[in-house]
Amino acid sequence: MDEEHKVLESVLREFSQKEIEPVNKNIEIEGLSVDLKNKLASQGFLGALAPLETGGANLDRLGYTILLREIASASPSAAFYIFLQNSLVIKSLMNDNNLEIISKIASGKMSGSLAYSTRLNILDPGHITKKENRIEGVMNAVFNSSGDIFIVNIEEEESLYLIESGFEKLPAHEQLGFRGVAFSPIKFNSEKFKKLSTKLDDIIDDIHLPVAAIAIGIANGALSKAISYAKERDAFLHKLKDFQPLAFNMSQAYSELDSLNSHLISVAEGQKDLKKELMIKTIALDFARRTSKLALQVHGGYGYLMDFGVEKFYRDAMFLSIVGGHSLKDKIKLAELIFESKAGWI
Amino acid sequence: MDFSLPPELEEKRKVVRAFALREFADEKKRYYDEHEKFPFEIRKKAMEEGILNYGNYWDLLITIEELFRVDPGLGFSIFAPFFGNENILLLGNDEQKKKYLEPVLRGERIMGFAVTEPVAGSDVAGIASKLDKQPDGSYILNGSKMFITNGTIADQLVVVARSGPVPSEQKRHHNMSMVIVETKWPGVSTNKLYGKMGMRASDTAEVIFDNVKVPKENLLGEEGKGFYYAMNFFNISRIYVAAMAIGIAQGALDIIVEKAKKDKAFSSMEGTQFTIAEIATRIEAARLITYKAASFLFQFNPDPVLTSMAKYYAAETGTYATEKALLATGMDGALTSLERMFRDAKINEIWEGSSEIEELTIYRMLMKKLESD
Ligand SMILES: Cc1cc2nc3c(=O)[nH]c(=O)nc-3n(C[C@H](O)[C@H](O)[C@H](O)COP(=O)(O)OP(=O)(O)OC[C@H]3O[C@@H](n4cnc5c(N)ncnc54)[C@H](O)[C@@H]3O)c2cc1C
Repeated sequence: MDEEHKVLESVLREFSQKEIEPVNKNIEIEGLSVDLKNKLASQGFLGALAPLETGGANLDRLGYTILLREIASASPSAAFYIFLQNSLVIKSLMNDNNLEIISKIASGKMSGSLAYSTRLNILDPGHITKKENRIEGVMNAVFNSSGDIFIVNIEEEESLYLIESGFEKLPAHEQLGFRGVAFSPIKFNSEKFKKLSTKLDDIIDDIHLPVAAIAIGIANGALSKAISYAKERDAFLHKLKDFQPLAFNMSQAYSELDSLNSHLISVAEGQKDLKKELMIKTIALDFARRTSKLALQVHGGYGYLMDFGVEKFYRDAMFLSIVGGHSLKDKIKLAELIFESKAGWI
Repeated sequence: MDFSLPPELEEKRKVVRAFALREFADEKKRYYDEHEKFPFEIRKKAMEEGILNYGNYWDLLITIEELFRVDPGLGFSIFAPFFGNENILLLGNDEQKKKYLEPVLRGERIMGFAVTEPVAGSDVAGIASKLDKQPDGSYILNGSKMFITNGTIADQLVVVARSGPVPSEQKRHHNMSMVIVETKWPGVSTNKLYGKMGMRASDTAEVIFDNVKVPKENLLGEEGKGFYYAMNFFNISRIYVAAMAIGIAQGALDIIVEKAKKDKAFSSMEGTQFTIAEIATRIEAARLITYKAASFLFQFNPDPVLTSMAKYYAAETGTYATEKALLATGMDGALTSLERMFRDAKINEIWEGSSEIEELTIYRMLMKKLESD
């Protein structure tokens, strides 16, 4: 990793320590505060992928990967929010002349969402239709549902539309993870929209590396807490770290994390490569689920309490596995890339 | 060998399932989870309808399974008011049973069992709460207990505390005693713990004893044997924890099966079929170990190896099933009770002896058994 990215990494670690850790519990209870969103914006994180002229940080693949990983280590919700604004919203808006909106998102004056539930594993993702000059319908699982603008996909046309008004947030869903970010169905009835040239499938094809970065951040955040806890907590007149099942499992996870991290950096340094990105996402999600579970277990009863800050990693790792793509379609795609022909379905 | 349950138990299973499906409506499940409230009304109904039959252990086991299958948090809250009463049943004298046990069985009082402390959970011998014996034979209790189920709503707690000095490092488990403490007594204070990941309808609290006078009549069994009594209790309660976990796993299976029934594309895939087969197999295995362990226990001939195996394996099956079911059902599962079950399931790998402690118990007891064979 070059100097510039190392500096970014240390800036992010300092930011997480100073600005996220003190409010971490509140993020889970009340959502990301306006104050924190402003701080994320002023650091350039909300416009991480936005061009410089919009006030964005215009990070490269590696920089963006490091950003998501580091923020997720502290707050997966905050990382997911950054991901939504960048990987989903800004990227959808980028090809057309939407610089003004992008600059509002980058500065935190506005936030948006892309309704992508049709690309998730859900029987009824909702449906949106466009008739002449009206877009209407309901999308069932929308993140940042309290946002100011929405991007929806009209399936019949395979076109994305930006909707700036004419929507209503329906009652919130029970939310397994990313509780810092609002999550509910949205009802649309709008006459104010604009067609975008970006395609939803291209956006979804590009989420694998960012999702892997968040997953690895989750694993890192959870494991760091568990290692610190095992050094402090006594049982049976010894520190937890002295018991083999705990020490060995954490050492194993640490080793896996180290390799996975190096691999993440190398994939991010390279050019876009769907196969590599899908592969690392698959491994990273599995690893995040296993490691956050281990970390919770190491904390015993305290792991079950929100105050200790470890249970959220367990919930978020699972939730990310559900919202970070359609796992079955990802598997089929990966199998096809590996077998170099149709594979994984009959 | 006969693996079938008697018809009256199969019948009871149906009755409990009908009760749970009727009383644990979706909005109630959500309400109690979201607000971290104890469901007094649902418990009252369960008592009125005779759902909990404490006099019949098998009946209780099946009941727990079926309640947890529909909602672990509500199911636990119905069952937990009895938690710890086995100590009084096994050790109490007639007077103690009349005063403390019977009202609990009638549903008039709520119990709790207080062992864990901030300094010691798995390591029960490491607890520091003290029972200082007074010249008149009574005790003064000081100390604090952590994670006590029903802490703020219980009328009485069975408490384990140190009633004499620690003789040596090897004998830390000596000199502990078990007493019944009424929560309305002066010096008892409680502090509800909010923000649990799961089992949020249940009440969990920190309990502080500040110079609490415990009359000598409230000593359970013999002085100094508290550690052994507690271990004996866990050998019983672990069977019920295994049943809780099996119930959760079954509930997770129900949800994935439900999606398979609705969605032909989903059910036609081998990926789905394998997941269902795998979860169902593990549930069956967990149930078999649990019922085997229960059959020994309920005939007053417990096999601690089997009991710990049951708790360990069933708990793991509960988390496994919720995890796999969520991964397979995706957002559909996440928008149902499955997300709650996933949060609830994990506790069974922690309480009543964490999975690691179960493994240690399995090893130790197995070696003992093998050595004496
Ligand atoms: C919701 C809830 C309700 C509860 N209700 C009650 C209650 O009603 N009454 C009560 O008394 N307690 C109750 N508990 C406490 C529970 O039983 C303890 O949390 C549990 O025993 C673990 O203790 P601990 O939390 O102190 O973890 P620790 O003992 O600190 O253990 C931390 C981790 O270290 C592991 N570990 C410890 N020793 C070893 C070893 N030798 N080898 C390998 N690994 C080891 C453990 O398995 C665990 O993973 C409850 C807890 C919760 C969360």
